[in-house]
Amino acid sequence: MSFEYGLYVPGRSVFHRIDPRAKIIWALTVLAFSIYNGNYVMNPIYGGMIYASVLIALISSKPTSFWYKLFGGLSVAILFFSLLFWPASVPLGGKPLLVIPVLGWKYTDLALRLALSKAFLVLSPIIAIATIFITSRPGDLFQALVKWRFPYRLAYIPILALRFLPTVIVEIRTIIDAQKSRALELEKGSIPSRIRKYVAVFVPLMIRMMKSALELGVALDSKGFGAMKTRTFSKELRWRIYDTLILIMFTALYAVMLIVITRFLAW
Amino acid sequence: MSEKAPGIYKPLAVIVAIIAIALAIWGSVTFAAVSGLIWEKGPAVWSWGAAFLSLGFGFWRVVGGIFWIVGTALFIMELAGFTIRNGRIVRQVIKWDSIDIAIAALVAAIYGGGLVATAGLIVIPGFTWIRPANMLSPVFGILFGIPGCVGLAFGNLIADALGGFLGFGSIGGFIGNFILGYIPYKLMKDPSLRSSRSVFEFYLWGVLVGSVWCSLYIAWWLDLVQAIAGLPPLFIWGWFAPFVMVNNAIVTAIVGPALAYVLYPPVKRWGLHWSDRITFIEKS
Repeated sequence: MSFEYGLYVPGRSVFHRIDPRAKIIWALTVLAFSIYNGNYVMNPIYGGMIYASVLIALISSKPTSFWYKLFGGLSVAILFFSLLFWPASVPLGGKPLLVIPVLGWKYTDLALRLALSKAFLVLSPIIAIATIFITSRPGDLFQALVKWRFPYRLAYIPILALRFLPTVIVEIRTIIDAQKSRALELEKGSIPSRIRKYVAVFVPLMIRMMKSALELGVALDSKGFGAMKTRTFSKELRWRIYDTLILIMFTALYAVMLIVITRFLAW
Repeated sequence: MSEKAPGIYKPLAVIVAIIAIALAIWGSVTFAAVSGLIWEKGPAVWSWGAAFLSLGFGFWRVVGGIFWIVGTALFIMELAGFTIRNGRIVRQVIKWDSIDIAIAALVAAIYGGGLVATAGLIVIPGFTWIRPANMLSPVFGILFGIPGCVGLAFGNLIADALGGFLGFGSIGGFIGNFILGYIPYKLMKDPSLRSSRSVFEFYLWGVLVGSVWCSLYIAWWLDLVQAIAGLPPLFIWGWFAPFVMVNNAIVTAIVGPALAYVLYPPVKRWGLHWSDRITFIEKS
């Protein structure tokens, strides 16, 4: 993946057009309903529906294949982890429901509910937060933080870091290739010797980045960064009725699903 | 900075370095030997996991709680413009000018990019992985001070986002990684790595105390918000905490001193070292 715009993937989807503040509130809503389900309701069908809704939001944003692979692999890994560890960590009663033949894992209905609900509790907020970064320009996220009275100098640090991330990743790969061509074998040797070899990667990287820091400082100064206490933007974010409607729609969807599923699809 | 230290520091430096390296290698070798079995038999199969669990959740909740409260207080205090100097709370002036912002952003990009580019095996899906780039954290702390520590915190957040780990636990990781750089920055009297005292201090504060503090800080946070983060306590204290400790210790013990030794002169020469950029205001 190139990370040309940081994590942002340009597009024209519904989520691309929403105000970043509305997306942050949406992710918090997903987190709140996931917590409620993962700890009190413990209904895997409801957890799965929240997960499906964030997955739809992610897919509709048309991210690159990197994100599909990342969240596909992560979903399988977290489901596996939860199914393995939650029943072992919190022994519960309940009716025996399932035995996985080769592995010999035994599940009661309560253990399965707990494991699946906890898996969705971890997964849904992670994907919702990633969707914010994928569909929001770094500058818009910065502006959203500033509008929420976050000190703009501090808010600028992660935004600038995201801007430099692709450069750093390319630098690291170039240095690794250059050092490999000089017979540095990062993959061979004992754990301590492999770790030691990374000095040859990080020292040139740091020297180059320190030079960049000085140049960047001059560039920021020349543009008057930090000269004023408050900061203005050439293109102001505007909260529209569309953002309010989307938020109401999602909140209503999660609330209605919660009522319907707990009343009629209780497991 | 590298003034002549009393002779006691030479044997102390050797002893602490040997202890730190031996503990880190022991932890990582035993972890590597049983990492496949942990999935089957639980965290107690790893000797470190068993040792942690034998002390009980109550013990770790009290000890971790102390580390968490002190760590959070220090984090808030430093960002609010205060620090502890010679045993007193004094006001410090960090300009947060363009150079400080650039340092913090580039540290975040290098640390975040480094964690992603050198990422290998996932240890707990959604929570942590083997992280060679952790070797940079005490080095950034002792070279760049608070802007470096803030960069580490944001860098960890970026790596979490790119690795699919960004969740409620990342708040603990944010401050935990700040602390990883902050402890050696604050407690090392000589950051040059050119004297036995400096080497001793690096291993003591940067490797041993920093790794333990960061690990217990994040683990206690995950335990506190387990209803939100979704990781069982058995794995927080039996696997996550000892793993983070060992991972941080091994990479910083083996590589950290060499990195700091090489990078200190150019950082000092270019006026980027924290001691050249910070002012303390001590009122009587």
